[in-house]
Amino acid sequence: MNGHPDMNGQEAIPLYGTPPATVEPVVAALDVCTRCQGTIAPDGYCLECGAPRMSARDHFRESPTEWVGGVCDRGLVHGRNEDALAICAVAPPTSHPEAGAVPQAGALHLGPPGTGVIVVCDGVSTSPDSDAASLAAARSAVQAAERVLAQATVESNRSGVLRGALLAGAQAARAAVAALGGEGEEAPSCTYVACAVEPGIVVAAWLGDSRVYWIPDGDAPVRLTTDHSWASELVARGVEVAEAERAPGAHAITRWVGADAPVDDVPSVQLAPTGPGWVLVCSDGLWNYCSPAQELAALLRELTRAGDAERAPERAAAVSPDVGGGVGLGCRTAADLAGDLVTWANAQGGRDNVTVALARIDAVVPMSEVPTTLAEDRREEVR
Amino acid sequence: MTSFEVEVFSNPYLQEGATDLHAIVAVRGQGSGGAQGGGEVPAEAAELLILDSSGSMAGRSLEAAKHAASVWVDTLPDGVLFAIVAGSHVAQRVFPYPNAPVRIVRMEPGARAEAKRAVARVVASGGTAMSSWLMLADQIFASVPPGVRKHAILLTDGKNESEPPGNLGRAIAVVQGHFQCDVRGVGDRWTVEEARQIATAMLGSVGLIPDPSGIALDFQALTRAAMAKGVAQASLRVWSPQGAELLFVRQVAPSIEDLTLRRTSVNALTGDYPTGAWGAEEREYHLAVRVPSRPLGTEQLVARVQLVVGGQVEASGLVTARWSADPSLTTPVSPAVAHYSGQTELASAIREGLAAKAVGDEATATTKLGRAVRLAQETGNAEATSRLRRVVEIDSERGTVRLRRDASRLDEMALDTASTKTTRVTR
Repeated sequence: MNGHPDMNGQEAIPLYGTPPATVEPVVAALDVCTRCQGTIAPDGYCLECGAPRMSARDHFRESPTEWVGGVCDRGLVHGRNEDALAICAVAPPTSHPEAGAVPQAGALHLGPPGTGVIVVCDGVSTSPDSDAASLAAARSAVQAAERVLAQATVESNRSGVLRGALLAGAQAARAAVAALGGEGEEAPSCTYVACAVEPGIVVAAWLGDSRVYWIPDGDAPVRLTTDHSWASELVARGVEVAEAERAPGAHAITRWVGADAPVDDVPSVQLAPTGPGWVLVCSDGLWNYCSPAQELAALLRELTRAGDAERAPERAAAVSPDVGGGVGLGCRTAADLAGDLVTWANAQGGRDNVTVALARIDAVVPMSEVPTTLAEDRREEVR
Repeated sequence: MTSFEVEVFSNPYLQEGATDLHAIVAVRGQGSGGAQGGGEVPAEAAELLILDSSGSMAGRSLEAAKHAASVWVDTLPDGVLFAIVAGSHVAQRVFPYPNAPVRIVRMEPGARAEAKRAVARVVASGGTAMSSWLMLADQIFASVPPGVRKHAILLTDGKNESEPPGNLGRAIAVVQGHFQCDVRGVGDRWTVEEARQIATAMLGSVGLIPDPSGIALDFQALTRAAMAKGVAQASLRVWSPQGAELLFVRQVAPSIEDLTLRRTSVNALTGDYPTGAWGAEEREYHLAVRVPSRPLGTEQLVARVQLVVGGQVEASGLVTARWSADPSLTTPVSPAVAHYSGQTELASAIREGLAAKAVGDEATATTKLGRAVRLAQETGNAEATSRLRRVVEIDSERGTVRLRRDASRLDEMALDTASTKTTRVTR
């Protein structure tokens, strides 16, 4: 039975509650080798390189468009993949006066044709079914965000819409995880990081230690999120970042999505990029090997060049080095590049599940055309 | 019908940075074709007997060989294609008679009686040129349709001394793969190395028959074993991943045969190794694969091992590797691998020791045979131990050996001939 909208426009839960959501199980096995793209034989191993078959839950790729995509992978050590990833790309609203739907002469409006929403959830290993929880959370969150974006046809404050979408996502993630049942210690739980990207605006919301970085082509990279973790608490108390991340219990998260989680506000940040760059969303499976924004930016640049040269040399040569300053989309998709970062993390040891998603902003509306509210919202340093 | 199963024994755990994985692959054939079920005859068998008729055979050896040939004729069931060759410095077909319109005939009571008469006419004369024996055998088998299992027994009593040294090798290269050949030496004047050269290439065994009286029984056993082979030709197929190096493929039971160089390519990653005919029996293979090291935790298939008959995969086994930081997992050596590594080293030690002794290098011979004694004891090869005792004296208190002055050439040949026989690992 449908509930009735309450005062806040949300669906009220009926007296008897609603049946728990069923999570579509991802058990399909992949026929293509995730290591070398070879064929998996009926005996379960690649015919070329001998790598074992992975299930579609162990390794999957989301690539709704060229400019936004990601890869979620079990890593090398863990027996199952408790990370999850969901991505959608929503067409731009039909009417969008403030963000410059009719670019003026000379204005650089080449940004993503629409809005990308990325959600990464990292299941908390100590809770059962955290692989199911993280996947249910990520998928529900993206669906909820997509609904909010679809309803916003004409909106005076785009940043408000995006933030609303991500908060609706967090709420949907909570509901999806709660629907899996369990109480207290037994309650499945996961981290939540969501990021919405469109021309000139990046908004992120999060609970836990999955991260969002902004890596502009020509400027200093920054991390947009602050971990809800013991390490962060230590940093807040004056401990050096590197030391805090190595401290015992550094990875213990202080906020999360789950039935046992304190229900409180979901923090969010926003940024109005003034040039082209990458938004990178990842779980700790990546940043454990490369935490500082500067290092991550350098790694991304190196992998972009190496990947273009190795996998499509003729196309790489054809791509003008001016496009994105040589570090843009190049000749491969965002999901391809995210896959390279996952491969890199596994080459460093793959000690944890690893999820990486990227969204490309090729160029943005010049500051003069950005609505003033957004320009004021822009945060220089978010750490 | 013969059915197959493949089982893999190895420790899949490799420590960080390790690249080499060893595995023992057991291939078992079950059921049989052959002579079972009311004397039903396998029409798909061709058997050839090659008797040494050189001058040195004259007397007791030739009489015993002729008697054995008659017993062999009696042992062959009706329906089997057969022929008999007498070899000296030239080879001659004894039966079917040289003027026969066919090179090989089907066994039936009339053929059996006539074949025995033909054997009785064989006389000893001339020298020994084994290349001509093999070439004639090849000609005879060439008239047999493909798909028929082709098996020969070659009996000699002497050295291959009537032809230039390279001839035998060239003939082997020509006939190899066309038929299987077991080689038997009677007495102590033949050379194990020559016999082994033929048998190894022709997927057969080498045997020493000390006294001519033993020939008949040996032929009977060989023929029965050959008749029990339900599959004429099988191959061991080995796949290894891209970037891997197959270090060796070696049969280790019932005897040691290095197959590494026998590979024929199926594709870039896969090769076939011929195994000859197969019946209700188990053979074991030791293979070693070198793969690029992978990060800790990675699982990797390092070999697919299959038994292939007529292009069809009959059974498969998987050899996997998994890199681990846990020394309790990575340290143990698979008992099967350890056992057969020891047996392989034992065979080398025996052969190197005897070779050193033959050229008068007693120091090396003592060291090598001493090592062999220890390996035979460690791997529980009682047969090898007892053969070694006839060649060396073992001082078990001091753990040393001394070459026996009274060791006969026959004792040394027995030790050499049997050096590649292995005992199975206890599982």
